[in-house]
Amino acid sequence: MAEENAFSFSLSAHPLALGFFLGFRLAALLTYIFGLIFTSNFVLIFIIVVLLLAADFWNTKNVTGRLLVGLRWWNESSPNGDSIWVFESADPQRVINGTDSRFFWTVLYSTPVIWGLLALLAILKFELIWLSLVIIAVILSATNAMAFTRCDRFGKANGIANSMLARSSRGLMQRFAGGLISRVYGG
Amino acid sequence: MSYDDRSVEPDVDSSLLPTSSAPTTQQAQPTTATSLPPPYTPTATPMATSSSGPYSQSNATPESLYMNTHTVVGDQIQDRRFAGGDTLDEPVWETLMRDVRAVGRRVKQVLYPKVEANVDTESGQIVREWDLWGPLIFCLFLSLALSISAPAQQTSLVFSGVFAFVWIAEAVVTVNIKLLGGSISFFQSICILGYALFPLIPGAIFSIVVKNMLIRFPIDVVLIAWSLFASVRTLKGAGVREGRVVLAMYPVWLFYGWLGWLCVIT
Repeated sequence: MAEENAFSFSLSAHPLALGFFLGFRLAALLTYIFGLIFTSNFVLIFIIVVLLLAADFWNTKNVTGRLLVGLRWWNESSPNGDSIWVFESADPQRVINGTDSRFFWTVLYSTPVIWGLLALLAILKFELIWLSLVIIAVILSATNAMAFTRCDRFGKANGIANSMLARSSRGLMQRFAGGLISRVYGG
Repeated sequence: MSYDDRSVEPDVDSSLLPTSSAPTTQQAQPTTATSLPPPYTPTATPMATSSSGPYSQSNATPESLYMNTHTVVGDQIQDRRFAGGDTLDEPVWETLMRDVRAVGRRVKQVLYPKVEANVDTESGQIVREWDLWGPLIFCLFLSLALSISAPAQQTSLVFSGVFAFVWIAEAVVTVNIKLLGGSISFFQSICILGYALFPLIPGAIFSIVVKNMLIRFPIDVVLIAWSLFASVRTLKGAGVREGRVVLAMYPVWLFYGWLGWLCVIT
């Protein structure tokens, strides 16, 4: 693809939305990781991180998803009390910017992974009080990741995940993952 | 009702299906979810194509664009192909303001619960859509207020304890209501319980200032009653089986009572 390495803002069709998307996610992560350097107040950090996570969740779900890749998902309640989860896939006529798409899917998938690693770290260090915060983060980011994957049933996300894995890992990992993915998704 | 055993359609990738408890588990729901009103409101029939609400589509939608499936916990999953509608490219400001207004509407409903009358359409409409911003903010405030008036070395414990308690208790009460035949969805119920926390916040703040338990007590009793009234009145449409209503409301009373008690003894 011509835009294989296009991770630059200048090629994006919605730089502001992209900026906010990355901004909220990074802010939540950095506040969690470095918060204790600036203040020893657990409550303050907890509140700030929770609010940032909530803002990020809302932003990703309601703004970023629809602006960058034209996908939406939501939950409705039917009159008899059932929840209905609705996943809307993209309009085929819509032109989706390659940079936007790449950025979106990469960051969408890597965020739960990073928080998952932090959760592991918190468990190993026996910091259970921080673990509650990290679990919230994992749940929120994983929800968005899964929901948008579900919206995008027609392959765009998988193509990017394929190329990401192929590029970022070498040797054994690459062979293993590449073989697995091509088998699962039929090449 | 919502726990009927229905089979999963074979073409659905069930590993990706969120169930009714997916984005919300014990620890927290800073989830606002929904409140992006869809361009289409489904009815009981799976292939209904009528659109209603303020975000109607400009063109009629062919049935083939919608697939409805059912999971074993009674949630439905719908996959749609985008087919028009004017909310996909709306300015972010509009999206934001819509949600802000919805939150404001719900807070007002808690503050001034209208007594019955023709409230059905109104409360039905408010109950139908849910969001969890209110519960999140009120929960944070409550936890903060209670932790401020706690002894210095217990501050973070009290904070996380109250935070976790509120969400877990809301989930438990909701499950209780659903198991008693409630026809209200999981998130709606959490939304209502969370919004009705609002009256307890002045109680907690009051407890920071006033140290005398005898003064705190009657005030907190009044506030608990207010919370209880607001939530029971809105939950009344929950359709719990006859004779089980008290059984369903008792945990709600316990929930607010316990939080009010914390405000008294803190």
